[in-house]
Amino acid sequence: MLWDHYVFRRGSAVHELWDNLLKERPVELLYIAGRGFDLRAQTVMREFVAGQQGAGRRTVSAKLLLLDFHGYELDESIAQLTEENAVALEAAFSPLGPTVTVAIEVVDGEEANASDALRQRVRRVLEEVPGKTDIILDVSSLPRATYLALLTTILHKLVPDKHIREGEAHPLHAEGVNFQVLVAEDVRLDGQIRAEDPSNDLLNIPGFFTAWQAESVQDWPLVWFPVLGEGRVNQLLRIGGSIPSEAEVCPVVPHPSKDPRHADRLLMEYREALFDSRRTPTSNILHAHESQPFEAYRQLLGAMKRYQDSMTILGGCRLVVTPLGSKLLTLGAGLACFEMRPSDLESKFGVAIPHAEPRRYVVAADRLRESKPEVSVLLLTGEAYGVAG
Amino acid sequence: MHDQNAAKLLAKVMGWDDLEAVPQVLPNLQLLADFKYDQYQRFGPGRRFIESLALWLRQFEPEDRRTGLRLVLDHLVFISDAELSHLVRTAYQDWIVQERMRLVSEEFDIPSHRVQQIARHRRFEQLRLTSLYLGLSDGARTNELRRASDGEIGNEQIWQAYELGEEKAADMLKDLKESLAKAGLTRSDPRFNLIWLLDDFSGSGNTYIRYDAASRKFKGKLPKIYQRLHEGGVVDPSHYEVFLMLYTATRQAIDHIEYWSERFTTDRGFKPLQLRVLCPLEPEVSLLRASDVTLQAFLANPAYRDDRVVDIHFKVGGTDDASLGFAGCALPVVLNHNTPNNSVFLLWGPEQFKPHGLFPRVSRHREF
Repeated sequence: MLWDHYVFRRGSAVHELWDNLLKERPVELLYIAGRGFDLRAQTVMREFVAGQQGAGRRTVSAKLLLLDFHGYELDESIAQLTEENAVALEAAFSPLGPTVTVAIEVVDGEEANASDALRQRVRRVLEEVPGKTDIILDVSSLPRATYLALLTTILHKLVPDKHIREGEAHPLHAEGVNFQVLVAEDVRLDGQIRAEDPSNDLLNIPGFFTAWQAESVQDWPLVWFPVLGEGRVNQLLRIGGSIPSEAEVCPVVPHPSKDPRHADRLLMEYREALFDSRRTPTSNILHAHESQPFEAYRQLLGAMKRYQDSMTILGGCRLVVTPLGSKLLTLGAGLACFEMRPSDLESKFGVAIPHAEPRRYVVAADRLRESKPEVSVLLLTGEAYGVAG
Repeated sequence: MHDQNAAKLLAKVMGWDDLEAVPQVLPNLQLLADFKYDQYQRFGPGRRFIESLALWLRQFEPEDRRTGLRLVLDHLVFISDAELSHLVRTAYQDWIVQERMRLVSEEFDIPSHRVQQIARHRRFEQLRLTSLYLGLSDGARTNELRRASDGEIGNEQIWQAYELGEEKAADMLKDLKESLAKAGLTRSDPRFNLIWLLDDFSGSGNTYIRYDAASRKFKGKLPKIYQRLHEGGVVDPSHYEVFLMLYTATRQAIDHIEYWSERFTTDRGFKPLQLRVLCPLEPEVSLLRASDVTLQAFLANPAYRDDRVVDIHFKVGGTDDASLGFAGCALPVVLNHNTPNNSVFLLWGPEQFKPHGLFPRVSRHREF
């Protein structure tokens, strides 16, 4: 297990981590954020920039990559928030360095489809990675598929070999490049952002495609891990339409959660979609901590490995993950998928994350403005995982 | 009882003649019954939730039955065996290991994020071996915790009770000496440094610590344990930390334990207690916070409680009204193996009482 020991901080402990990690050393920073409507990204950025301007911090270079998104149907108030957010993020980052907005190329007057657009964004981000000492991915205002794709591809670039070998540097040391994921979490607000009208065309997360579509694996048994979250039944149904009826289904519910009835409510919400229609046994339900991504990672990774061990005896298996829960839960699921993704093309299993991207987000602008999120940091690679003092 | 018969029984008790309400309520109840409620360990053989629910609702006046059902549908917090097991599985890696990391980081001035460096430090291993785990009740699930540690907690470090006899304490210290020697960490007079006290639930905190004004003494499990640990020479007096790990607890209990344990340890010159709660239940869970006036009236109805449960143990909670439960906590909480008496009486009232609870409780004391 790669993150047997991990670094996860929230609230005031985040600043202590940044002090220890960034003080008294030259920093070449790439900061990735979304040009989205979620104002929580500003909270995260202001806290980080204020710290990086403090005593003992040395920014050699810094660039903000602001990923632009088009094609969503948003209410006018939300569209306006998106513009305000972009201006505010650029202004907040300006003491450290410039902002580059990453827009999707329009070829012959036609916009790229969602999968191509995602690949373009990922490629543009990866081009910026070399030479950086610190990479920050702020998922607060990024769509789920985008931050999952960035999380896994940046990790893949920094950790090309996942094997832990005695006497060698830990793979997560990643030559000292510190990769942090920042989240401004407000579970209640997440539950109030409605993702509607999911696309019929499933979006392919780069690197997690073969196990879904390759002809050679279609006969392998399939195990589906839908990670349940509020108001996403339509997204689940869209993906579920491509999951064979004989698939093993292991719903993942948040527990513990700030709301002790959260898991029960989600089971009722998904009753028809998962339990009535597919006859999923309740004994298949997995629990994962709502706000502790490394615990969720461990639970999901453990379950995936158990199925992989059993199913490969039958010739192979496809492990399909559909993360629809909180951001922190989704990140945990992303880490598990990254680690499970086979590096050997001859492997008798594969991991897929097909995603039905919503075309419309609905949320009350007031609710976004009122949110007081808690900032969390996952430090995924770098000096934390080195041994030398 | 067969599912279909149980459903018919519930429909009959609820007066759902038009059957319109059935498809809205019953499938959800059946799903949750299958997922958790049927597993309540105090149900008699063959008894399942839907049948129990029907018989429980039947005790109330017909106009109150909808309110009773709403208590279940909108408020019940049932912590299943799987959920408790999951909490226990998170305890070692996400709490106990993290505390050891923090201590090594502080002692050796290693930045706390340098997790690989800390994990390879000899002190990290030493603290692993000099940790002692004591269960405070049957719910402590000490065996599950040991298994969840993947071999990092040895049999000789864990005991299912907090009352360590002299012989047991001597055995544990002998085993500790051997395991330290085996790891090349020899100490002449080895003692335990980290004490982990484990339990599943606290509703009010009174069982752990309370101050008896009449005798001017601290009472409860914690004062006893501190005393015993110091008398028995089990802990290293020059360096020890005591953690109370509760798998779940109310905010009321957390505040109570933190306040009174600080008073106690300061008074006696002991190291402060460090409380760690894996799944806190915030005050919004309490039915005292429910804005539903009908529900409040239902719970307060004197016909729906039996004050025979108010005995000397119940009165320790400072109330003699059974309806809101021990210490007036008014919780809607049921644990898979027993319903805490901090919950409202209508959930835990023993089976032989009228009305009886939906998830009748078996008492540790003779509460009546």
